Amino acid sequence: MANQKKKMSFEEALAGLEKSAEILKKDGTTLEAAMESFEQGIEYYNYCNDMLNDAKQKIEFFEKKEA
Amino acid sequence: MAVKPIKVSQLNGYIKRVLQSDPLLGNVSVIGEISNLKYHSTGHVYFTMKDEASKISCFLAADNLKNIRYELTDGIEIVANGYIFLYERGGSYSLNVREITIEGVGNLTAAFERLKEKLSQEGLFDEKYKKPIPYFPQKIAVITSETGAAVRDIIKIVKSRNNIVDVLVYPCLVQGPGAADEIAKAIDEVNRLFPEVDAMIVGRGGGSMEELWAFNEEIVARSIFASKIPIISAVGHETDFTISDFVADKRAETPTAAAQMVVPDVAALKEYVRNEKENLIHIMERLIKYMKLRVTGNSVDALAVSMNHRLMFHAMKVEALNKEIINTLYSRLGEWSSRTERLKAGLDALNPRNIMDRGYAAILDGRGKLAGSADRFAVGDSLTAVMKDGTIICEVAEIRREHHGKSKEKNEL
Repeated sequence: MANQKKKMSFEEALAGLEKSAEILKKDGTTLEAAMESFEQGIEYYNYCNDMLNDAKQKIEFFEKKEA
Repeated sequence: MAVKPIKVSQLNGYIKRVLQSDPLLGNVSVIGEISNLKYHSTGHVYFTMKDEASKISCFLAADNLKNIRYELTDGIEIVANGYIFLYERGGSYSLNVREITIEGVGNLTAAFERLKEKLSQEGLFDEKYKKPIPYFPQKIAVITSETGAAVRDIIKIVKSRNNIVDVLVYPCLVQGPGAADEIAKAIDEVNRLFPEVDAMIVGRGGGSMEELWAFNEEIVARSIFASKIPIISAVGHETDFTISDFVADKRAETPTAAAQMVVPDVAALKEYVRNEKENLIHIMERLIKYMKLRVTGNSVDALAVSMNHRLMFHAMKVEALNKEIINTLYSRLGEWSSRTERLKAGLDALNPRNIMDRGYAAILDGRGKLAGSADRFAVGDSLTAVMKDGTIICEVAEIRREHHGKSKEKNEL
């Protein structure tokens, strides 16, 4: 699971977060299902948030001599 | 004076030596309009250059064609550099072209349109080949001049929006001869050396059509098409359209616009994601509140209240029915009593005692029955006369049979 999450793109995580909210909003969702998607949604949120706070930007100029 | 005749081949051989040893004819640049352009299957190109008064056959070898930066087409004016060459077999000469340059917007536009048409027909611009630009790339590459305005603008915009995405600048020439070659190689190299790159921007800042021309060359178009990494073309200003723009996965109006397109705004995303989380929590809370309500709605107390309500309802119903029955009874009783009164009044009117008040008496026979007729009596019978205030016991002395109103004596009774 943790390994899978590593590969998840930001876009996928964001879509997951949006989907969780959608499931919660749906009529006739059982409490168990709601709790489950709520927890998933929070996980997706944490994943997105971690990515958004991972400020390790690198800006480099390629040196052709190396190639 | 008599000259010794020579053979045709000797003459042509001599002319060839004269022409091809001339220093001017060995390196000449000629201006003229292309006509009768023909691409031979061997890869060589044959055409004619002409002006108002004259024309010359031209030959462009396949090896040299590779270095030509323009798509040739009939009717455009070119400057061809090359040397004069004589074919001894045909006795004709031609300009053997090494290099071609095109000047002027009109001529360049014609060459541009020609290449656009050709690549379009090949399908290089087809929508089906366009790769999506990732929403949130981890690493982008920028292929442009390292000293130009474009690279500065792109880095500035990327930094202002996003402090996460890595940027690799791959410097190359962006104008002049050789630029197209470098751009095409750079695209290939980034694909080969940095396959982890999620998207790349290929472009430069504004300039004249000649300055932007590298992005209108076939070799660049082919490299862009072959790239596995999605490419945003960002050349010049919004009014400049290049072949690169058409073949790239996405066109940006300017390098700045390309940077805005390729990296998402982290601050805005943070806010959006936070809103989504809050929304999630809000919905969950509401759901729990609703569930709670449903649970308390079914507790013993709630059931008792609901039972009381039902009991009260039924009690009220019974009460109402009861009242209705009593009311009906009373109204029926009223009806009956008034009817009785009416009947009693009718009976009163017929009461014989009322007649007795006026002097009449009732005659009863010996057995106490109302007689009503003289026939019931014989002389000597006793009878009873009932009057209003008492009875008289009498004995029949005489019986006279007659009818009322026929005897004067009777009237005296």
